[in-house]
Amino acid sequence: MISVKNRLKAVYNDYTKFIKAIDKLSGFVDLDIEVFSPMPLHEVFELLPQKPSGVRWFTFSGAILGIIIGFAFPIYTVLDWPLITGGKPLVTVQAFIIIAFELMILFGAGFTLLGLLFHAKLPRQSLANYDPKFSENSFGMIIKADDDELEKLRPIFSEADDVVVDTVEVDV
Amino acid sequence: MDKENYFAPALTAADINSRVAYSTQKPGVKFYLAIALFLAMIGFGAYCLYTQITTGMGVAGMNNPVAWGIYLTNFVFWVGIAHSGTLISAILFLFRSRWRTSVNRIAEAMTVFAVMMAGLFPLIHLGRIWFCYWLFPYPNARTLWVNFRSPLNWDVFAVSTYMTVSTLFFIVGMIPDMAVLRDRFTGVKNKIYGIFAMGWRGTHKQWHHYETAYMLFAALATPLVISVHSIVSWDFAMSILPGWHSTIFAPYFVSGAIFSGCAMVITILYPLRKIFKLEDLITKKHFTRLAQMMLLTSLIVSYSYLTEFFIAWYSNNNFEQESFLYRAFGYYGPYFWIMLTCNMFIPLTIFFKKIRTNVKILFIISIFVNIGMWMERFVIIITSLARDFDPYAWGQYSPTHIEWGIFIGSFGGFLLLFFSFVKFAPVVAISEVKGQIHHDMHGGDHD
Repeated sequence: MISVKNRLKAVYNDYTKFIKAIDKLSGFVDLDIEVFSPMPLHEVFELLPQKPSGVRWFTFSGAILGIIIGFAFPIYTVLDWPLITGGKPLVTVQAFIIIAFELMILFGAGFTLLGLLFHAKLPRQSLANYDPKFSENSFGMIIKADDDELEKLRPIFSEADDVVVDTVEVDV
Repeated sequence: MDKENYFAPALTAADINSRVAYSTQKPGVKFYLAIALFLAMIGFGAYCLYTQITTGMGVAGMNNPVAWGIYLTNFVFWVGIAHSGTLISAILFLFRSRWRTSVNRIAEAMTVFAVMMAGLFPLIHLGRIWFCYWLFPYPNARTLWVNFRSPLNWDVFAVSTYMTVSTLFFIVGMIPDMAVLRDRFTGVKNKIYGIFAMGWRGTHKQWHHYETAYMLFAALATPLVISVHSIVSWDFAMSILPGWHSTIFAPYFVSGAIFSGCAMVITILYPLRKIFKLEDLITKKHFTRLAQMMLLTSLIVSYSYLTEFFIAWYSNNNFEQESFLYRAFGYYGPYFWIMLTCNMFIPLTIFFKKIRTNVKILFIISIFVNIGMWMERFVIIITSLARDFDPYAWGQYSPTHIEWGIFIGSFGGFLLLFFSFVKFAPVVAISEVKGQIHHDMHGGDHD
């Protein structure tokens, strides 16, 4: 169902004022908030806690897949064309460990990239409401809230350098 | 914990953006002259390769018993150069070394381009370059598979994995910085940088996943970098040739690779910071830290040189002893002594504070180290092949102008790629430097 919500965008040039606002906002439960910054801010991660990133599972799955392929494929090839050299066994695990290790890293890294793209929602075309200042020296946030909630939040942004409010359609 | 400030005082986030964006401005005549020179080098290399392909492998100096010439010397040399990039971006990241932030992007670019050059040489060495896909396992009409028990095949997997992973690491690291350039420019530049930024907006959720992914990339790249040069060393150590068949080869090669890589970073950084006015971001302190890395790895390499000789003497093995005496006093003796001077003695001067804080002298030392490390690979490969067990099979090898030409061409290719990168992409990891400056100003739990 589509409903109309208020969207508030606040821009801060001063980090202290910005983090003070985030601190106050962190008291609100289930707030639909997006924070923008030119670098990762660990203070924000603490105030707006996130679940551990799901990218880890992509990496883990890729690495396990790499190990399996790294052993299975050489074993298949030596059994497919059995050529005994130097009286040694066909399935030489020690030698295949190296292939498995390299493929573990290769698939692990490839899947990490996929995980990042999936979780960070990249690539995306729309930069609507994004402010180019966010990649320079400014900090900001976009909050989607209904009328009552917005009224409660408004005083928090008294120190912001720029505040814009409009409406947006959201899926509920 | 390292609390030193590595940047010029009073540097703001906006300064960083403009300093880095400066390198992407329209280049001057000198830049085009440099590009013309690199293209000429590539042209000469391409001509030499064409001559080798059309005439045959005989135009290269390789023959029995020295069947591995400077093509494989160049291969090991370029793979070694590549190692410092991953060291600086991954290993030092995991160790939370603060000085890496200004130089990691340049070192990563160097890694990617050096591995590209390295990858060419085994193919050029094998001759029929158009059959290079035979190196990879694929279903074919002869139902044959590659030999997975061969160190040369391990190399195919190691080097191609290394190239892929270091390229991914390099590109992922640039996403937020490409967004900075996207936001700074309008028109075509905005569109091009926009494609590479992939719609990055710098939200706290994106940063959260990005930091996790970056840490995981670093965690994967760290064992990878050690494995790659270990595997390269096993190309030699797995054989039974005197001078090659040694268990110290893996750590010896890895430290040598980091040593030569740090030297190449200094060689490249010195002119780059001047040309692109990056003195505020890449300071004398960064050079000092790189020099200290160089000194540490030089000591490890020197210890390995001495250990090799000690083992040859202590083993009482005639072949091993003869091999090392030949290295030092035989036909290739001058190469050996140049190697020792450049890699063992000259870096010792870094112990003096006056030397390691003088950027110009460090630049000169780095050039000596580059030469010395190329010589090291030459000495290891050529001397052992020239004199193995059977005196009847002894012989000498001299590289021909074709082989030198292809080497020069590879330098042209490396420098062309590097200069193109510098002109297009952010040469310093903007978000990382900003993060560090922000942390210095406001504190936090980054460490």
